[in-house]
Amino acid sequence: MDNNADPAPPAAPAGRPESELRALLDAAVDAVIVIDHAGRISTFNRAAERLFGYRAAEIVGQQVNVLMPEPYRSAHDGYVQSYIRTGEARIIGIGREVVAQRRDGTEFPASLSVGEVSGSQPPRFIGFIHDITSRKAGIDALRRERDRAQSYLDLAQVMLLALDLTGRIAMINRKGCEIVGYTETELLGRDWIEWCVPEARRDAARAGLQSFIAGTSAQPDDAEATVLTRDGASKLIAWHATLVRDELGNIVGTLSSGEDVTERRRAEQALVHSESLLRSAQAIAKLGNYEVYVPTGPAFWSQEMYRILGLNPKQGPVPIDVFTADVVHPDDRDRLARELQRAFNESGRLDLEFRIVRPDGTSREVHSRAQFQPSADGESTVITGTLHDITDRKLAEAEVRQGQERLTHVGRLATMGEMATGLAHEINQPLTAIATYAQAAVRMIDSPGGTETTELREPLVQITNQALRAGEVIRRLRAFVKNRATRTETVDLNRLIEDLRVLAEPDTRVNDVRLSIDLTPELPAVSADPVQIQQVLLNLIRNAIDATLEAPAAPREILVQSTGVADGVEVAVVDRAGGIAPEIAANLFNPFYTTKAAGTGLGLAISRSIIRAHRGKLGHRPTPGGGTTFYFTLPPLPGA
Amino acid sequence: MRQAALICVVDPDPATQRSVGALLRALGAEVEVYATAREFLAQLPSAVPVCVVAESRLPDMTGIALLQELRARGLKIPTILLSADADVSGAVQAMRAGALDFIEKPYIDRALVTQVAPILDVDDHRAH
Amino acid sequence: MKEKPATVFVVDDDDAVRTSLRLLLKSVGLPVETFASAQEFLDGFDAERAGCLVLDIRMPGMSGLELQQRLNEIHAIVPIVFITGHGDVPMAVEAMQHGAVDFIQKPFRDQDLIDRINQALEKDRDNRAGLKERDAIRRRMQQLTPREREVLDLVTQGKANKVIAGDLNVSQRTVEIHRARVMEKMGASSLAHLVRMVIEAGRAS
Repeated sequence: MDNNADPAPPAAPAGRPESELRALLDAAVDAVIVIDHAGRISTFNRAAERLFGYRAAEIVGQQVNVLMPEPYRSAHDGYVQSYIRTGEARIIGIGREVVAQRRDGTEFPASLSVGEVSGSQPPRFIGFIHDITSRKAGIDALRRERDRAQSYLDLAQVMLLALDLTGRIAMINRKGCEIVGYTETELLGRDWIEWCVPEARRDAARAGLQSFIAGTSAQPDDAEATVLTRDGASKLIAWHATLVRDELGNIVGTLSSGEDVTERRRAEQALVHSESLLRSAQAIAKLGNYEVYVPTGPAFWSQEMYRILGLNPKQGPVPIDVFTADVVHPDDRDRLARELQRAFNESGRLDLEFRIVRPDGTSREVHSRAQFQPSADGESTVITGTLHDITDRKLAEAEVRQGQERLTHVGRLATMGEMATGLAHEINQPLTAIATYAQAAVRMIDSPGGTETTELREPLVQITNQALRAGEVIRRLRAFVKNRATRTETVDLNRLIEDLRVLAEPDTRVNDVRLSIDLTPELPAVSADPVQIQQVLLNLIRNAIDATLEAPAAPREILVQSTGVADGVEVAVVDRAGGIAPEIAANLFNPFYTTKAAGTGLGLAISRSIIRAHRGKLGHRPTPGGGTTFYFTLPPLPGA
Repeated sequence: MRQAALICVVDPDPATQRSVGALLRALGAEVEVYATAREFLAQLPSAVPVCVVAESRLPDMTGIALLQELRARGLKIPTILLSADADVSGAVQAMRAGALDFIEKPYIDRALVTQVAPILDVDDHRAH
Repeated sequence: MKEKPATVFVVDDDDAVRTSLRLLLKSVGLPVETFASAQEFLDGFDAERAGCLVLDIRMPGMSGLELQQRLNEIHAIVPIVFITGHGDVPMAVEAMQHGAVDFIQKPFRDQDLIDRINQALEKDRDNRAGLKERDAIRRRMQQLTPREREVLDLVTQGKANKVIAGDLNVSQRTVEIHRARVMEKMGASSLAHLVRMVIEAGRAS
């Protein structure tokens, strides 16, 4: 408020009689108020009296800002002073909406037009005030309506885009702005295609828009089209468009709604991709999966199920009883039925290998694992499981087994080869004795004076013994080198070691090594392939011989001993030679690793695989006092 | 100047002729090569070798027969027999007939050097 | 003292082979002694005893070839017939190069073995006769005076009496007397005989 302003005396308007002016002011519909340069009211017409609730007599001379609520009230004096000082008007000649205050303190919206009374010095101002309460309410309703619509549009999370006939943006909602990354202001009036369609698609988009407007196409663009965002990213939008017409029915533009489906499409593609991955993985693994409700209910089989079983996917999953009765190999039906029964009643799990027969008659080995759980409604049992075609694996396993058996056989032959000198000797000695005895007998018969037949008895007995001796060696040799499938039987290891003596001793004898055997009586029997165990033992003895020969100063003796141990029976081959260097120990069991000039390097590797196949272990430890002890253990017979 | 000692190689196999010839020349010998016993025997009166290296199975006679023929002519030439299909009894026969050595092909170089070097009076390490 | 008859010594570690050989050789009237190992034979070895050795090659302890080597080292002259179940060529050649009479593979024809044994026994007889002869020659040579020994050396080098006389700075007549005495003491019937005896005496025993 300007306290320095001098109060000005009311001045009579010039040129017209006061009463005429008075009547004119009082007839005016709008409130008319005149103030002086200090903001004091000098004129207050009848309409103003009605509008504000003041009588002219009580308000004239008061500051005009009593007609305003705060904060306008305080600000007003400043406006007037500022205008007088600078000549810059905030309101003069413009008119604006303001909030006014009645005598009773109530407020109302009003439009205010202000003019400067010309020629008055100091200046006076005349204001016309119109109550716009009713108009304002209408506008506010409209605005609210618009805002609500806008918020619907925004809530819909859909882009709304209106283009004029040239493709300029007439309207875009908040979601649209959000998607393309511009503000509404930036976009309005811009060419949509230029701004928001990737360059490569612009010509097509423009042509599409034209043909849509021309009515030759149902859509301005692809149902899903890419838009270009401010930061250069692409978004996939699913569009729906309609033409916009004026009241006369002329086409004035297009209105499109667009939904950002980028993520959804990506997720869908990912799903499709992962489904196809799963399908490929199942095909590669030959692993099908299924979910079946028993007794009734939906059944799902993956593609691979049909492929494994050789069935047509169009015919759908086979019911479980039909599966057991028709698809499963006749020999395996009872077993599967039993296992299914057990899974239903007790275990809740199935883990079974069985054979199936395809419609073309070929059979496959399959492995099924499943879990049995009650369904959510408790009405049925849900079986969720996998079916794995393990035919190829079984074949491979068989091949590996056969390969292993072949290798084992080759190993035996190699061991025999190394022992051949000793064995040849072992067979040749009795043959020599036989021939010599027989020839001596002939000479005795031919000798002058003849020979008593009783004298021939000794050579003949000896011939028999020696023939049996040679035969025994050959028999064992044949049994040992014969190519044979693995055959497990109950084995007394002590007996096996004794039997082996015939094969092992020649080798030790010709190499001038003493072989002693120390057996612990009454050891538990083991389950083993006797020939393979003999092979391991011979191999260990051979190695012990070689080690002994390489250590000229070592005692030339090898001990084979059997003992009962915690995990079964241990057979040890003890030498007194130089022991094993660490770098050799590391490679000891590696195939083809050998320290022998004539070795294959397979002996120990094969021996270990044999012992492992027998669920035993093969190892070595230093012999107390020098040398190496190789040993293997075999588990006792179950229940023994 | 000492003339190089002559060694005769009697073997129809060109590979043996070449390899044994080269080995003996390396030891400082003069080498003459014959494919058959007859060719070798026909040449004998002109030059008597210090050593004969002969295949034990020549096309026209056995190595042992050749050895016996040399003895019959009064020539006690040290003779080494080579054999590609040696057996013990063949080896023993050859040794009984007076062969200096009986060597199994193809492992002949070391054994040959061991026998020939002393005859040539050279240090046999040179050829090793 | 009467010498023991020539004996066949059989060395083989195989009991049956040893026993059958004893039976066979006895059946043809050959005295036999058997040994289970090379060491056992060596321990009882008497160089004076005539005979031959039937020897297995591969035996525990000392092998047949090792025994042959040991016998050669002590200049034993006992002829060896090897018998082997699994000999190879180098082994046979080595045995032969070291003086074996033969190298027979088991099993063998009895006659082959008996023939070889007889050859070996004959060789032993010859060896022993030669040895005896050599000893006799050496004994005779030891009876020569130093001068006679000088004359012997020069005569056997093929020098004429006149040359020898010059070498020894004596008269030719003196050489003739020494030479006659050498011929007489050595029991030589001719100069050639004398030369053979000197060569024989010079051989290693």
